[in-house]
Amino acid sequence: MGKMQKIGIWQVFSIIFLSRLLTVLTYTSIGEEKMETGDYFPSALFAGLFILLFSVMFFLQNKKYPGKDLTDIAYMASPRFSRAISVIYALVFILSMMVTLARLELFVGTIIFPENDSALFIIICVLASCYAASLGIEALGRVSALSVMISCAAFLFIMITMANKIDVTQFSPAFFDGLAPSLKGGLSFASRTVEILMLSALLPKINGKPMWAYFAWLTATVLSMVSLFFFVFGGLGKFALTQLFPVHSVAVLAEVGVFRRFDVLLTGVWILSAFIKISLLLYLQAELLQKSFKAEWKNYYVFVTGGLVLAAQIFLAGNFTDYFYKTDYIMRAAYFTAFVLVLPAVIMLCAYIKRRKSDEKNA
Amino acid sequence: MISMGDWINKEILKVTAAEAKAATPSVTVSENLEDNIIYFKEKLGESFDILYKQTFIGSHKAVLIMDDGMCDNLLVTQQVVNPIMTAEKMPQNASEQMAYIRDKISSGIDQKEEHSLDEAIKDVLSGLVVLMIEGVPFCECFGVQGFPKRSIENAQTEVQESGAQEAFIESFKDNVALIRRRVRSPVARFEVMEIGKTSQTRVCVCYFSDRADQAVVEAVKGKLKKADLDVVLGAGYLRPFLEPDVTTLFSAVGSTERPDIACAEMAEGRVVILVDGTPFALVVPYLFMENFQSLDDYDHRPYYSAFIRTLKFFSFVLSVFLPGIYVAICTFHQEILPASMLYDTAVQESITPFPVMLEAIFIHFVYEIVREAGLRMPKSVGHAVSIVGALVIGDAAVSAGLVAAPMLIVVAMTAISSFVVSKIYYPVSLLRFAFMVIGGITGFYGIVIGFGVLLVNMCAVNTFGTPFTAPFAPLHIGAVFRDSFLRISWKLLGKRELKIQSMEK
Repeated sequence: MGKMQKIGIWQVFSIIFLSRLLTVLTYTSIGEEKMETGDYFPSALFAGLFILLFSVMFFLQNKKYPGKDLTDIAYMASPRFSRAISVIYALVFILSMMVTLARLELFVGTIIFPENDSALFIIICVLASCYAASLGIEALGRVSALSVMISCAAFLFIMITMANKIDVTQFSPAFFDGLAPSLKGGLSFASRTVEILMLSALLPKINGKPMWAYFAWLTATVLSMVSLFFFVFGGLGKFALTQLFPVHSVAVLAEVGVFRRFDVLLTGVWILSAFIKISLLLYLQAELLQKSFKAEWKNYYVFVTGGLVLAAQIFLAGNFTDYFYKTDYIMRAAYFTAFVLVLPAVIMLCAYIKRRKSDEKNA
Repeated sequence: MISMGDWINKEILKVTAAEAKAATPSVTVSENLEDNIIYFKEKLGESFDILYKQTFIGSHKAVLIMDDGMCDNLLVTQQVVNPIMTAEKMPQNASEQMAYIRDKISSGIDQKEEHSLDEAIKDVLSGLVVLMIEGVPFCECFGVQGFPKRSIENAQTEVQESGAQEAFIESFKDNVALIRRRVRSPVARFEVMEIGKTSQTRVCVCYFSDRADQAVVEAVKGKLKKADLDVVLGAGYLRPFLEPDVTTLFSAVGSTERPDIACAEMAEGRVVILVDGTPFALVVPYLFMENFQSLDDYDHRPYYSAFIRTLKFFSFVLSVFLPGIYVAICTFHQEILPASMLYDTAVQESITPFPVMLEAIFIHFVYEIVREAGLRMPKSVGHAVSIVGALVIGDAAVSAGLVAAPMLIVVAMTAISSFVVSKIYYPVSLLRFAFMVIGGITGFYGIVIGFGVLLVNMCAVNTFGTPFTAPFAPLHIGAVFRDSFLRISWKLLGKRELKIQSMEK
């Protein structure tokens, strides 16, 4: 078996930042708790705090078991338990991939090719992601680091070109209806942060101190949310709340001289982020499945899962995962808490008990 | 990342095992001269260019064997035949005669004692004269090579404005001399090996012993030894054996026809490989970024070099993506174009009979045919082909309404851009077609995915432990600002050498 591929801190930051950027870009207020436009800014800050809260078990994992992922820790309790955990988290990643794909298809079907079938595009995207995932985390890390630079440049360009469209009078005062809407919004944003699980699964592959990447990512995430809200609501005002993809709608306003419709740039960044996120999720689920089943079949796990997710997306129900994610934010937060906080706590507790028992035996 | 040491060790073990398997016992030179001659004739057959000059040295039978076309007849006469024939104090004992000829008579420096007949045959075929004397269990080889060769000429594919103009030629020794002349330092090492079961082509691995990673040198030698080829007629034969495991369109093995570039590469810790009969040297490890660098960049002022390199990169982007993006815009994203431009383009495209994607593929295909024809024809005819292709076909196609004028502008811009980065012309031309198809089917967003795949493919490549996309992925800030798109002044650049190993991360 080859030696494990490792990625640097900057690459880890890039890979999870791009993943989170996709969530921010595809934000839709439809089906969400209603907020005043001014409440979105504190909600971004609250989201940062909630993410910190959701990361407690990740901090503990990094401190007590540095360089080990949850399946490694579960292995200390029992190999069977570890296998079960691998399968559970592989399924979580697969579900997250289905949600990402569903949103992408929704976007492609409504914005890019409203008159054509979006299936071909989705097939190409999944096939490309399977290929990327099969090349390993080193390649994904490197390409993410480059993509972050490209994405930031594209954003900066769009923001500059639409700066004159911003009207600060469109912001309503923050906390107009009290603290609750912002808190609910913050919880809703934070409960989509699958990146904590990604980071947890990537721990054994990180060269350097993962906490640097984590805090850089958290800061960049909050900043990106705040700046996007600023441009979305500064550009569109309350109209943004009626839009399926408000970030795209505001990018349509960008123009320089005779050139306009720079939303195509933003959409490009969106697609690139989706490609990298799906590739990473495919890679992570394959890594987990190879711990439960045959390790030599890693690339088969990538392609078979890719095929199954694609088939589910095309044949079963185009947007079922999207509807799932549109459920009440409490439900979503509960689901998220179960996998980010409760299950890791159980795993670490089991490993701790097992170690205590064996220590007692030895004594 | 697989550690360099582990990977090298694995490679070396594989090569050692292969060597042990391939090793066959060699036939030694017999004291019986006839046996030696019979062995030579058995091995070489009745080739007319192999000459056997049988003579007597004192009372002992002797033979001089040489390849007529590979030796300089004047040197043979002056350094070997004449001194032996006119020697006055030749000893009587055969072994003493050989020692006397070697030490006292022959005036050449390049001579060696050979005990193996197979090695002696190789020497004859390499242009040495072999002397065998009855009763002596070894032979003496004299270096008197003098085969026909091209003189050193100007570089054709890597033209430089200022600085040296010399290029490598087919002669192996001359190429080594061209490098040695520029680097008169004992750290410059030239190790020769033979590759090709039949051709037994000489391949020279050149490096600076104080800068090249010894593990990389060993890995290069190991990979070359593993090249299971019958005949090696050019450096291109060996390229696949040096390429990394991940399949990619861009080669991770560089090539240069300029000795000064070869020296510069060696100074950065790289390994240069010279192949006998090839006027190009291979360079490993080779990074993608190097496709945008030339020796002229180091002659100009840094800001101009930065401008030129950025221009080259922009040309690369244009040559790969422009036709695809044009097809995507015309097919799916017309809203991007300013109104007046959209109107003009739409009018032009509406009169052509084919969809934009097919039109683009067709016209680029025609362009590639014209280019290939111009390249392979004699220069005078080549120009005519270009004129017919560019002016006659292009103009007539637009007039006939087969191709839209904007498409022709796109083709022209793409063609010129691709010549700016001529080192990667072939992968670029293939990618161009791929992106035209993707752009025509899925629009700009398909191109973005294609770009992502291309990027991830390139990022997956490690060439001898160095990432192909360094110093950008993984990011190496020092190298990026030192000598990538930007280049710092020689005052700073010369202070500390940049080794390729520093990119390993």
